[in-house]
Amino acid sequence: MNVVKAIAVNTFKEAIRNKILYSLIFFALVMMGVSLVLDQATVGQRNKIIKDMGLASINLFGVMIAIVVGIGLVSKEIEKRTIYTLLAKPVHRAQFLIGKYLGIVLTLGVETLLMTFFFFLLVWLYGGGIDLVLLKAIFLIFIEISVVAAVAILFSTFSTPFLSGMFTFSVYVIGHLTEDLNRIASSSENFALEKLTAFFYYLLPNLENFNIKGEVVYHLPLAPGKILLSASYGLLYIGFLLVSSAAFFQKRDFK
Amino acid sequence: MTPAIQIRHLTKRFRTGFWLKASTALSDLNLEVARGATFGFLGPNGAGKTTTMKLLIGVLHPTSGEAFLFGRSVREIAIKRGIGYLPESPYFYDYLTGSEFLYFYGQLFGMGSRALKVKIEMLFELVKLKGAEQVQLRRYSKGMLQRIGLAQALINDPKLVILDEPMSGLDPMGRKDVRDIILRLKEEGKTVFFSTHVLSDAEMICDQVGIIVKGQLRNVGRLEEMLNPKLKSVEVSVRGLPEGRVHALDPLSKSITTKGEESLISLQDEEALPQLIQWTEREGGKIVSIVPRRETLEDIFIEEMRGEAT
Amino acid sequence: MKRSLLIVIVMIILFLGQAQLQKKLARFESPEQETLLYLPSGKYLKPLALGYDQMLADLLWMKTISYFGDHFMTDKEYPWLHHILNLIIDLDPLFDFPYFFGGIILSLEASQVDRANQILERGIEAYPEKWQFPFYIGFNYYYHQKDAEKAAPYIEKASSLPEAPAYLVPLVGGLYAKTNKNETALRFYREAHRNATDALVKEHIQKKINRILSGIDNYDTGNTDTTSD
Repeated sequence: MNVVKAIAVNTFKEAIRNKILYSLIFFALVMMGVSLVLDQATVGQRNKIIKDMGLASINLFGVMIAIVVGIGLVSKEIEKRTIYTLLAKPVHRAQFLIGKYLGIVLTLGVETLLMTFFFFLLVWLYGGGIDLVLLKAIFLIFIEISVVAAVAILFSTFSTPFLSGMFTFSVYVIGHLTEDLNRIASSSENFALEKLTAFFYYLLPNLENFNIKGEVVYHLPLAPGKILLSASYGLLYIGFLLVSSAAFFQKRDFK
Repeated sequence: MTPAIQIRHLTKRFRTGFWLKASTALSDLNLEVARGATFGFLGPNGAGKTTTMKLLIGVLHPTSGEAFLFGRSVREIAIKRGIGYLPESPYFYDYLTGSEFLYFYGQLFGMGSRALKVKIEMLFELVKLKGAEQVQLRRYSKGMLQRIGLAQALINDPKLVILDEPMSGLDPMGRKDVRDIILRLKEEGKTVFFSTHVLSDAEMICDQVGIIVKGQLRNVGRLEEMLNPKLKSVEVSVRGLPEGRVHALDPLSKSITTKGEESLISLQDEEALPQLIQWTEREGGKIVSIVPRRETLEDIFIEEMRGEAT
Repeated sequence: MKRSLLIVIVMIILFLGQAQLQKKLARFESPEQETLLYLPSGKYLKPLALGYDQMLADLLWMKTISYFGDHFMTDKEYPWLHHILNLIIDLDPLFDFPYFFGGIILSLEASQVDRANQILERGIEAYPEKWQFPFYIGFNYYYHQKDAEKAAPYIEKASSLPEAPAYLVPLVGGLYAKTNKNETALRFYREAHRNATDALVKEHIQKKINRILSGIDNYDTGNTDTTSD
């Protein structure tokens, strides 16, 4: 456990010292840009728009960081040959992977927290008060980007950073379309196609499960247990990804 | 007592490139290194030294064969508690400072922070990096990285130290420091397994060497046994001889080279030496130096390489 | 020193060059060519939004405002307005502003009454409790198309919704009157009378009923004065 913790903290330190949190400046700039446009263009509904934009930006930035940092976690250790000394220590490869993963989750958590703070500040400045319901959506966004980071790690255990990035981005896109995939499949006459899409429907993460941005902005009632169920789904899926990653990683040679 | 390192029929093939063409990096390697020995693993670049070491620490999986450290399979994670490893031209987490780096590696052994603090201070002293503790590794020179790499390999007080080209990239002072550290480890009774292609280094500190060429072990044994104790030649430098007279020595010597006033005469053995000295005095010349030449590791090495070529 | 000066000069030349070209390229874009033309239908856009539906709707909403502004200042033609509004509604059906905007602007400013009403119908679907949407439909039918027959049921529906202002009630009666239906008007007023809680309103409606019954207001002949009541 100490080993995992040490690796996680080290990974977090790396992200901080490599100035990952500078991306917050861009987040702030985007949000300020949005509010400037709001002043000029829209007549009403300012509150709704600023909430939409804020949640979407937190989501987008989170996904971007999860992919960019996630694909580098393992491959950088290999490329810079730091993995040799690390694995020469009494460290299981699975421990290494889990430590790395927890490190990025910690990084994403801190980043999300800071973005949330800035977002709430802006909403408050625009007279929207402090709307704690928004936190529900942000919590699920955090679960979503944690899933995306785990996808990135999985690919980076057997692929190059560039390809891992492409793959992870594809999974992110398809992850929002699985619902539609399923719909196409169930309306199809082709039995094989139906089975195939059904297979992918369950294999790929259904990231729409983590999207309640619209619901919280309009204060719509959520189905009871929706958040808990979605978060549990995310955690199980992350577990599935990490175990698969560890299996790939265990077999790998580091030349 | 089980040997520190036991390698049995170790073979490693890589599949590389788009068509996954197989290439053999190591074939049927058998090797034993006794506890307490300082073993020099010699071979040209690409011979399989690094592959062997990576197989020993478990970052590579063997295609076939097995390796044991202190009688336990290298697949067991627990054996790594007693091992230190320095990879070739190490590159570490450059965002960490020197002491943070060692602290992190110490944590991987579950060492407490108080014990680590003492240990880290000692290691900085040992590898002569005092004063660079709070400097980020990205500001370290290549020699400093090699030193901190050595320090990280020693953080857990290992019984066996595996060093891949520990002297590469170091200046003469640095090479001497590394040699001293290895000798000190030897004194402490630790087993040192290190690779190098600089033979003089090995000759100075090893008591056992293995020569590997193209993935196959060619020669292994104690250094004294491998080196022929007999003289290979005696080189005598002479000056002040009348011009041309030196060729009178042709029947006596293996070769003669003349450069200005001075001639270098290479004799087959010591027996002709008194005769040469007398003759020189008679001719009015002066002996400048007499250097006996014994067989060196380099000669053995070149011989092995030649054997490979034919 | 000389070298860095050269580099700076080359940089400036290249920069000014690209700026010039950009200026030229901007002229190629004729204002006739609407960028909105390339927007696919909401059916395809929604999955492509990847869960950023509301944000995309907001961006399109801002685009709508500027599109409207541009054409309002120039040709006063708005061929793509209903398309983009429908897109916004597809992406974010609970965003209520586009319904109001479409319902009023499309009919009043763009003279596209049917399209305005189509958008308002979607508004009713999303917000069945909002009285304004059926009211605007009724208004559009009556005011723009002079079709009281179509307008009346919508206004009646609006008057039955919560928070509907009281003045809708006489309006409904008036509209039925316009369609020459004494019977329907009477039925509506009686229903309104039964539902009214305010004594003054009740009295007012009763007067109205009496007038129809006594023949002073005869909707079948069109002899009325709805406005005064």
